[in-house]
Amino acid sequence: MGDIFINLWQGTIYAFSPINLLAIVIGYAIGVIAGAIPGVMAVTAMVLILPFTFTLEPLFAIALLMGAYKGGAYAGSITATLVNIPGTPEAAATALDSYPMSQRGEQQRALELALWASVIGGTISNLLLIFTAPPLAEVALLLGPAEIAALILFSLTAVITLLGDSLLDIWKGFISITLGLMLAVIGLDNMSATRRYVFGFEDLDSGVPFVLCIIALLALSEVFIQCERVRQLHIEQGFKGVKPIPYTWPQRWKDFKFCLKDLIRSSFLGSLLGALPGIGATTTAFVCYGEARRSAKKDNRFGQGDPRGIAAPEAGNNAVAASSLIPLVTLGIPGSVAAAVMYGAFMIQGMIPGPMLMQERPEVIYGLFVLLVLTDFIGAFMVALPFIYVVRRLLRRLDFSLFFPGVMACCVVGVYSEEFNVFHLRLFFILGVLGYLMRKNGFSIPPFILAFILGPILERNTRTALLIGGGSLEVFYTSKVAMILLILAVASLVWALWRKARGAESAGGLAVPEEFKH
Amino acid sequence: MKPRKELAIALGILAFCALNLLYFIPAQVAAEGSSTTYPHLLNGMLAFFALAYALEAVRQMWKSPAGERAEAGEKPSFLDVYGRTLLLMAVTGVWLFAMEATGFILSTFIFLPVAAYIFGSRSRWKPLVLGLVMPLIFYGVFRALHSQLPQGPVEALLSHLLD
Repeated sequence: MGDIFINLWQGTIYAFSPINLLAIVIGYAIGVIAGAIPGVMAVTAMVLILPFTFTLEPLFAIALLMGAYKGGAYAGSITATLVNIPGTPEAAATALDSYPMSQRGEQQRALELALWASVIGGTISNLLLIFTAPPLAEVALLLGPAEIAALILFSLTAVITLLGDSLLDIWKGFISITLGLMLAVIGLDNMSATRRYVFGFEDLDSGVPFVLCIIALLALSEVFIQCERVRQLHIEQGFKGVKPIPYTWPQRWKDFKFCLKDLIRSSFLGSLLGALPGIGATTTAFVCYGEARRSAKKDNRFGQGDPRGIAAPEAGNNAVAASSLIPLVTLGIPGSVAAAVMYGAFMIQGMIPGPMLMQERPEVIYGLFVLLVLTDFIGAFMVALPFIYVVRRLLRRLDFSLFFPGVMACCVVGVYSEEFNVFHLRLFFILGVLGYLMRKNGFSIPPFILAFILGPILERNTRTALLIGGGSLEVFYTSKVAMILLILAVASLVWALWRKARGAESAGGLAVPEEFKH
Repeated sequence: MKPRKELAIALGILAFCALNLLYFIPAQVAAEGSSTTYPHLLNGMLAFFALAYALEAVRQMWKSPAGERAEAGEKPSFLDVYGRTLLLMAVTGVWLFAMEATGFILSTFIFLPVAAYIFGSRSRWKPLVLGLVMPLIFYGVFRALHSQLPQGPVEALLSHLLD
């Protein structure tokens, strides 16, 4: 425990500089603007920033990305509250109560409740990350290739268990994962350096670039999807004029006391769900909302502007941000798409996240932890509060017909600037269309991306384990850890199939609406 | 989504698995001297999951054939729903595939207004201004960083004028 505090102090010295604090402010501001725009997720903002981090200092780049993620995670609730259009999928749960509250003229109350809940959820999750990551990283260092391969298999099967509501969704999840693993095979074999699936293109020798893949599947496919909704976006832009009711300090204190239990429960629940691979902020927000509604007395006003209906999902979805980094910093395995983007940012900086990085460069990891804690407070006080009104004015004037083509141009420049290769632009288009087709047909993108990132690690570790075992699979069942993880992988698969076969709904009887899945 | 469509997708994936097994793996993996074990394993997994997906789709078809028929006739036409997106995709494809020959500035100058009109822009001038300003901003940033965007006649002219 003492080591954690010493490392935290070193991390603070390393990270606490005006330039890094500025990065948080800039990142949070970008995240707030992006998150408030319907159709642009927090992760999309991160993805657009990612290629521009090549020339930046490591912590500046990471602070920028974390700021964008946390800003975006909060900002989804701004449009959800003001115009009942969730800026991000996770804000859909918040809208169930924040919009009715705002319709009563209590816009400021709804927006501030969402903000404070985000800060509390984020802070509790940050503290859990700081105190659980170091001991987990020490355990991770004891894992060999067989255990790592088994762990990745378990992570990939765990991703699928909470997908969708039917058996069809489960099989689609497995297909997404397998396609992601197949895409990762393209390029030179990482052990024998022979070519696979390159179709004569030398540009494919180094495989499909990670940044390109993420931008194409998340951002370009999203623009194609938004193109179908263009009329709806124009119509929904109208803001209704409701006379605002001021939010007083005694009322703030009363709301805080009233929501405290739900805030704490949702923060811990969000942290726990966020640490599991693939669950994500949207499911977490709905689970937290369902739990808050389930535990409330019968005379509650859920659905009509109950403050707990805003506090619980916001605390939950913001708690996911930090805890989803636990598998990344301890095991080197990104557990969510946002963590995958962070993984990319570390790689761009020449660092591979995982237990070794925590041992060799603790100042970077602990610096990241310090920045995470600071992001919530700096973002809330310096950016979010003043920005709420800026964003409202901006949204009124935003022309989506100019905005989305502009986003496409930014994506193209981002993809091109990674390796200055025109071939990559063609690949980007092909993957964007693939992402669009997958999403339109109900195939989930996050498992695909996670499998694409984890594929080379899985293959390398499996082959190394087999080499160590002389080609025999015995190496997997003689290791207790590998065996337990493989049993868990099979068990989670069987559980998921059994659960879907019974047609069970999400926790609290509240399923994530179809339009908010991606 | 209709079970019939789910079944068609599953069959499409199975066809891809067959193509991979019979052509891609022998021609693109084995012929290059690489081990085929892992690609075969992944292909087998994909075929298995696609088969399970197909069987589940068939089960769903048997379960609710009446409901599926009832939905028919209420939907807007394919072009109403996807026409705009398909047009945007085609324009994006032309933009990205032509960029090597035309350069970034010229292709983006044409693409941005066209895309804005596809997105339903009602303004005549704003998309043209966007198409003119945005590529030039990117050009300026890249030039300041001593990097190059895809080169074409406009980039060559600007370089000639500015150097």
